[in-house]
Amino acid sequence: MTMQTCSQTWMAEAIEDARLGDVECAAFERHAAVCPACSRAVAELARLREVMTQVPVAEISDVERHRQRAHLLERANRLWGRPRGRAWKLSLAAAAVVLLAVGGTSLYRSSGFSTGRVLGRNASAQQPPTYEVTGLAQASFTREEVGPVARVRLAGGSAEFHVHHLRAGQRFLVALPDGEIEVRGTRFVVAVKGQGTSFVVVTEGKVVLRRPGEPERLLFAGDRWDRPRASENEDISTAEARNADPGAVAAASTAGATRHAVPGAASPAPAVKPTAVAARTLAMTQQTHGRARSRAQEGTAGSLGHPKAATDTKSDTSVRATREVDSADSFAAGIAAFRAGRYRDADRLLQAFASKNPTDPRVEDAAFLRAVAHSRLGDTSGAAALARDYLGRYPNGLRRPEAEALFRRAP
Amino acid sequence: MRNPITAKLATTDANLVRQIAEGDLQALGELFDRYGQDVRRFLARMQVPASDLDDLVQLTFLDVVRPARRFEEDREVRPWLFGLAAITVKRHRRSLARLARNLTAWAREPAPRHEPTAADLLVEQEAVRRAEHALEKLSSKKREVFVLVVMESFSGEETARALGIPVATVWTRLHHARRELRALLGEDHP
Repeated sequence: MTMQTCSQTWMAEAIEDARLGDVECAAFERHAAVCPACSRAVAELARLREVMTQVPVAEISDVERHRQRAHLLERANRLWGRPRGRAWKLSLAAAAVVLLAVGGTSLYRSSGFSTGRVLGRNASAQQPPTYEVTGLAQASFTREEVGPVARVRLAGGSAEFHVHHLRAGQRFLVALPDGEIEVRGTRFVVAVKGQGTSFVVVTEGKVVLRRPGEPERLLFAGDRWDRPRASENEDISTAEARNADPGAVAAASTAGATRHAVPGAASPAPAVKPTAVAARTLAMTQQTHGRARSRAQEGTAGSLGHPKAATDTKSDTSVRATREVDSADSFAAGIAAFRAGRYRDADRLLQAFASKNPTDPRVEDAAFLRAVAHSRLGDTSGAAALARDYLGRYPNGLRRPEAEALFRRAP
Repeated sequence: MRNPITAKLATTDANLVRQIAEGDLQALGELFDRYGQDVRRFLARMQVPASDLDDLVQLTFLDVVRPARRFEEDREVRPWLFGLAAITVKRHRRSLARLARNLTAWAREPAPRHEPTAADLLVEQEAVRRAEHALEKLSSKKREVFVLVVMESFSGEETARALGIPVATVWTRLHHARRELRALLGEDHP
């Protein structure tokens, strides 16, 4: 072998691995200049490194990375919440369950349906969730199921989805040309036109809508998201400059900080004529956000509805009264009320702001400040309920530690 | 309340690991943001099948808590994390489910992975394909050190620490890995 014809060829590797000092390196370089075997060894090592580092590794998209992150934190939250002594065994058990689930995968691809209902398989913890997809006009979709994950790719048209209760580990996603929707057990309608999502309407439960370059949007029952028109301003929010101090929040609000566009406030007509099913679905979105959301979360602790101890009794009147208030004004008004110590008014104004502008990035701050307002009114149970709701909606939220503290103070 | 901007700027990798040891989920998310892609790339180069890749990335980060409690402040986090990923790969390979999974996957695949297509016959793509095949042929121990030292540019000491082996063992395995790869790539001409 060519590499063995000189007793010093081993030094080629040592230099490649930075194991030799400067003196030895210089000495070998002088030697290699006159030794064909050693100079060849150097060239071959360099060539090997060059070839092997060309082995490609597929990168994942931002949307996918975002989803992976959320999934990781969700799993960690479940695992780490258990007593310390059992954590290791439980993590191994979870890993074993995941491996078994992956081992039992099946991948099924079918051609798209223009109408009709497609049933997902019956659900168990390691099988895909149970779901129904009703193709509406010109719907074109495919489905695939890998272990406990089911994914429907909606290429065009509109479809109604009904996802049955998700068990631990199960996931249901709708892949869109410009993003994806992850379902948290719900019923919703999605329309795709061209290369983009036209609108998303949620009638039961909640979904997360992810689009590249944008923060996740959590849509509740009664919420509707519409694709922003090209003329709308889509400046990036200065959320990083805000903190929970209402003074700083108010300063950011009034200093002309740029904001996200607020899609969904106006509702253009759907791109497709709805069937009877979809018409019933879409009709539900004509109700106010406040009433639909309250009904969807009836009986759920931490509802966005009014914790009874510390809010006005005529909540509908409050919502109607503030509906005419401009988005920026209602948020700023809520902040001003908070700073002035008028916590009941702050709670009412911030709730109205959130109801009217569900996709505004300041909704997270509003949700947190409502919990603080209730705490300052002495309504610890109400504050805890709002804090729990915040933690559920924003598991990676900026105010997570503070919200957890509020939640722990519950009587 | 802490200012989120200065809090972020001040959070070094070591601080993140310490916070994770205390059960801080935000710190785990931050660590994933910083190194998730790197770990994924490493696992892919360790020939973890695509169908298992995301799960193993997640398992690597989920299993960070316990080692985080023993993390020494003077260590670099990235090699330490890659060491954990290497352990995850080993555990994965020992799983009895892997064989069943491979059988299912092979039955499902329309064509063998390394069968050259028309495009693969282009010289540059052919070289990459052979390199990928050669990497796959290495034993896991040799592949670990080769990927970490040559492809991820870790030093011998960092690699040794990440894998929990002596530095001399790193160099020995690397030497044998290179020899095998050269033979597989046909660079050894009699």
